Amino acid sequence: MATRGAEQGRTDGRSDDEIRPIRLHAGVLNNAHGSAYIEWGKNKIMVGVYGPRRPSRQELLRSDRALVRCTYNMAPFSVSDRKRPGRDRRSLEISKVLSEALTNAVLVERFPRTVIDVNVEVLEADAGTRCAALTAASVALADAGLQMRDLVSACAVGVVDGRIVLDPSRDEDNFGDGDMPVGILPSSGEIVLLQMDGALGPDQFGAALDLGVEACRRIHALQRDALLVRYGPERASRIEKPHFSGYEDTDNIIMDDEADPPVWGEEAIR
Amino acid sequence: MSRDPETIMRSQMVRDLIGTGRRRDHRSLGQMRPLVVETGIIAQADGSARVRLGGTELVVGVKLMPANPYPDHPDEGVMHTGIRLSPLASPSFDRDLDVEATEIARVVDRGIRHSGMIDMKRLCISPGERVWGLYLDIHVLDHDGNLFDASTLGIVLSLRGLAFPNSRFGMGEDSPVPLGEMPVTLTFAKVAGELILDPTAEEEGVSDGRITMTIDPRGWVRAVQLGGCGHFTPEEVKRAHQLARSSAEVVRGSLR
Repeated sequence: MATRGAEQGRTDGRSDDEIRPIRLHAGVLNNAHGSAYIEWGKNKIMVGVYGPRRPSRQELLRSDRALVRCTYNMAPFSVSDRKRPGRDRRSLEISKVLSEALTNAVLVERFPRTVIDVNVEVLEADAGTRCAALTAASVALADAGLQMRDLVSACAVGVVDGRIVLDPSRDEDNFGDGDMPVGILPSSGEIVLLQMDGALGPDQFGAALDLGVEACRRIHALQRDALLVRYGPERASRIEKPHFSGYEDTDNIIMDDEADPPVWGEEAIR
Repeated sequence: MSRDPETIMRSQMVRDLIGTGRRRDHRSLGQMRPLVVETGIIAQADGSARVRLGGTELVVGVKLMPANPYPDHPDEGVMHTGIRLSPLASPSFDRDLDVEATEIARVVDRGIRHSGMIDMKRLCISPGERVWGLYLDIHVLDHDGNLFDASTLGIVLSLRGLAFPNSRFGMGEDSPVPLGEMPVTLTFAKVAGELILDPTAEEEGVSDGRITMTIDPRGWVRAVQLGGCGHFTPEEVKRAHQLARSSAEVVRGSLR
């Protein structure tokens, strides 16, 4: 483990209470009832919501409310060593805590005997995927037009060399002393996601929690902005597909929307 | 698929239109949908691309990792193609899709493998001991038909500029992966007795079969798959072959 003095900055030059750059777009998929795409640092995550709808397995139904069923999945190419496709223990656990957090935000009692599917696809992972996914998922639920009591805003707090830092990067997550994802309902301030591993001293725990909650409020402002871009007075009339950020300096767009689309196979078949 | 009156009437309309040489999205029968492509979007992948073919959208990520060779091909790399039909991509993906996914992945794999775009012998590190494993993973985000053609395009574009990540595995400098010419996959659906190129999900839903062909730059056929409970006359198959060859040239030209 690399040790850094407290006077030294973070590996990516951020201040301790600085969140990585975030791009958040609502309404980016054609088929899904609601969708959101988030780039949080180098994380790239797509969320698509279907429902309320009848599930293929009827035994899931609850007579008094909708079931929010979140499925968190990582693409095989999303991490440095190829991830074996399919479900694993980590993604099952994350799916469960995200489902439970989102259940708090949706007025599930309005949609009895239905399922609301929240599908999370992590296309690129760089620490903090569950917070980014939760943040985008609640925007996707709002984009689906579901009645909600609130959004869910989330951000992780980490401990590096005894310092509490916001939104730990991959290095800080791997070599740090602790990681605590926090998710809140911003209006009430209630916490709906809280996990932690590592070591937080008696004085640090409360401070870390306060910092996380404060960060969630900053995230909430971004969520509001994303929904206003989609549904505010200047809204676009159709789904707008944001470009993915490339990782090279070169122009990563081979063919653009702006250009005249190439017409292929012009030859009439008849 | 549900057979409610609306679905039945819509299906009939799609079929009737195609019978008169027209399509719901105003394309000609032999025309592909607009294509939007971005590459180099996943830093963790050795190659990546996002393809939007009309309303179909997918991301491909390519990874190279040292692997063990197969005993019967000790001096050749190994290649794996996988596809995830994510439930977020379509309301109809709310079920087990293993069979469908496996077919697409295998057909696309055959086209890439047999086109010679990648010389598997060049993926050998040490014969019989260590070779490169080339993992081609397709992630579907929006499904509006014709995943075959979009997947091949995504893979081919992801492979462009691919380099052996030698430095990541302590094997010296990264070096470029030699690549042959790109294959192109073309899929036709048979609707109302007509062959239509690049079918949408709606058109696939009313089709009487599907034929997919992968064509290399010399115009040779490298993979074929008939599907969707289809039955084609030999003349129809030959017609699809001719159309695939001419369309492949146009696709190849537009991507150069």
